[in-house]
Amino acid sequence: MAIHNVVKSAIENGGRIIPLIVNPELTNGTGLLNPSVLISEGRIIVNIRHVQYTLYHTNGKYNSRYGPLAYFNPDNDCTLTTKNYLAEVEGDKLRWCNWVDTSKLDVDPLWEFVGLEDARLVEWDNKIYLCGVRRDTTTSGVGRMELSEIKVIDNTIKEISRFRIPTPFNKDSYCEKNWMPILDKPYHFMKWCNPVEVVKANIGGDTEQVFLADRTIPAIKDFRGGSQVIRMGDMYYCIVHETNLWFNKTGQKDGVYRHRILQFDLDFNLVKASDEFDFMTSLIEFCCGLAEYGDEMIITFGVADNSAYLLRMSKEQFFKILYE
Amino acid sequence: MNKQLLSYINDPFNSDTAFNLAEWYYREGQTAAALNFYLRVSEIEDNKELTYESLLKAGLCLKQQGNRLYSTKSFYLHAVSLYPEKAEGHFLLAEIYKDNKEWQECYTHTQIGIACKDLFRLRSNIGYPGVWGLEIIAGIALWNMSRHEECIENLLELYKRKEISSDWKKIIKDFITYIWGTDKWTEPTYYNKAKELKYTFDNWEIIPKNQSQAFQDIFVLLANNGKMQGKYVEIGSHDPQIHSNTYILEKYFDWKGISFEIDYNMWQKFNGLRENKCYLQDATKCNYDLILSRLGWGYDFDYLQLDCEPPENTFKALLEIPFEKYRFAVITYEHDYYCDESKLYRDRSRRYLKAMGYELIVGNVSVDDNSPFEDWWVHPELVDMNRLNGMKSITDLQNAENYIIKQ
Repeated sequence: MAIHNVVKSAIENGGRIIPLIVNPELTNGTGLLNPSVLISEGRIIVNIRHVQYTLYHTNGKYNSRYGPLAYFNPDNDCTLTTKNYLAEVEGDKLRWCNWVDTSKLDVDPLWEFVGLEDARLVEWDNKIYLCGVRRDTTTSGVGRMELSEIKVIDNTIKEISRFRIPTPFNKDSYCEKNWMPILDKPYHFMKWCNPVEVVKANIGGDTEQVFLADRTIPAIKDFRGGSQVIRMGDMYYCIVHETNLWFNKTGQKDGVYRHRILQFDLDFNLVKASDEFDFMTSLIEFCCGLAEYGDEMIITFGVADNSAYLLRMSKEQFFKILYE
Repeated sequence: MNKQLLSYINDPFNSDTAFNLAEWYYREGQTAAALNFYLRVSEIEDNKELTYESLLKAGLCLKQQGNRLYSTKSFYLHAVSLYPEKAEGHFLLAEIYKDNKEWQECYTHTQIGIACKDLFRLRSNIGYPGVWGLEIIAGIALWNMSRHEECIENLLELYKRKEISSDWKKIIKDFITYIWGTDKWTEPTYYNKAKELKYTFDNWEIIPKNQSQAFQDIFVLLANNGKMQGKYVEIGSHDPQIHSNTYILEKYFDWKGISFEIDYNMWQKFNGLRENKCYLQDATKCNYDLILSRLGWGYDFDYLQLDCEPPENTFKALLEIPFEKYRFAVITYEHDYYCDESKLYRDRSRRYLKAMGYELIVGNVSVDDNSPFEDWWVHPELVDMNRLNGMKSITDLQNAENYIIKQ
């Protein structure tokens, strides 16, 4: 059974919700979405994705001229361009927030999806990485996960290295995305989660498969990558999404995204999946961040590609969603 | 925690909480997020008036982001289809069409908007100033639909209205400055007030409205006691109708005259619109003696206008006039004292004209209260000084309207 509005129940049980916003002089007010979170040296660090479009999604009668789901780009710009902003959350505010300067490693984009999308924050070998998908390096939009090392230099955040992660087997696959980094296992990703497939990226070399589960749990839809995979006690946890995409009677695209919490044992066998849920009752939501923070869990998610949030909830509440 | 966000989370299917959250995002400049929650209001569908407002605001979000014309328009169209009899949607559509230079569509929506009723008040500010906002946009559209006279008349009338805010007055001012090619006007002429003259003269009833920037045409007729079939020399004529000092002299009082203009476009326009002729000439280098003698109109004229740019050139043109041979009943001399950095040419012109036998009747004429730009002179032997002596005003500043119109 679907659970609706988990933010509401989290707040009713002592949680907090913080809207993540960036100075509109930098963003022109367009979409802030799909944030990720990382606890580094006790500080709450978030990455906020910014796009130059505004997503239009409605289930009512006021469709756009392109239907219920459309990207409102500038009239002279058909790209979907992403920039990333790194920030530190203190209380209910951002203590600082800076654009991630990728100019040193950027090359002219060859496709319309530009930039590193849905980047998850990880800290491996004392280095901070953004790992997301980049699709602008070929003329057909081939997507690969990339590891982008970032560093604070002279009060600015700069990308200092970039590694495009090869696929372990199907070298010609079109788009690899939403691999979930495993925070306590450097360069390991959960590529799929039902059945579970874990791969390891060897920087500068090939990617190897390190685990492939031989069992699945019954599920109607694919579980697709979302947050990082984090360890708590003797279990691993992550939040995944599942989609329901369709075309309406006039042939226009529409869709719904829902989420689940997954639990794995230390061998990455999938143990438990929560019921599907939404965060704030919106039809399109997307989670890229999960962190343990004292007695709380921190979850970061975006709504309709237009707004970004950080949710703090008690662990009790988190497990209630998992087991309810 | 953010109050609006909390209220929304507590009751996400309530149009009020969605609207309030959208408003918070809108105020923060987060227009994508705001749009998302304005759309939410329209989905809830429990409040038609708030849906109308939210669709307009969603359009404004995209407008603020810029360069999303068709998407913006589609929100406004949704809103208008919900309440076609409300003006705000038509106003925003008219603005869109104006920005896109689709003038007929723009004008059409202004007229529909003007005919609308105020069915209910919106909760928030969507930038609709009232009916006069539609009228101003309509005026701009009229110009671009080649209905020039209507445009000027309407905009100048609007410019005078007290209820119009300063930023919209600036829009009018900038537009008129743009189409006239000069920023010299600071106040409009005072149309339709010719029948409220402080000093009347013969035939004053036939003037439907004055054309001059500062009632110079009225003063010329006043000093000449409404003379029919007079003669003028106009140096620096500029536009043949708008702000023209000689237009009503020719059109309603049957004066003949000759004009000089250095701007090619204005010269062409003049000769296309007026019966009297205009010469394309640098007024500082004309042989006026030769030109006037060839006209064969005699040696006494009823009016001389001197208005060149900058003040130094007006003075140079003045020095070229053969005053020893020709006399002028009235002279309007534009010294532009308020913007003449040298501050030399007003006094030089005054000394010179006095030496030529002219008498200053009105000094430092201004269209407002801080821009003295012109002196009005007469030749005592060509006008009735008994009438004019009581009309003298030689001060540091004479507001033209206060001088000509009954207050």
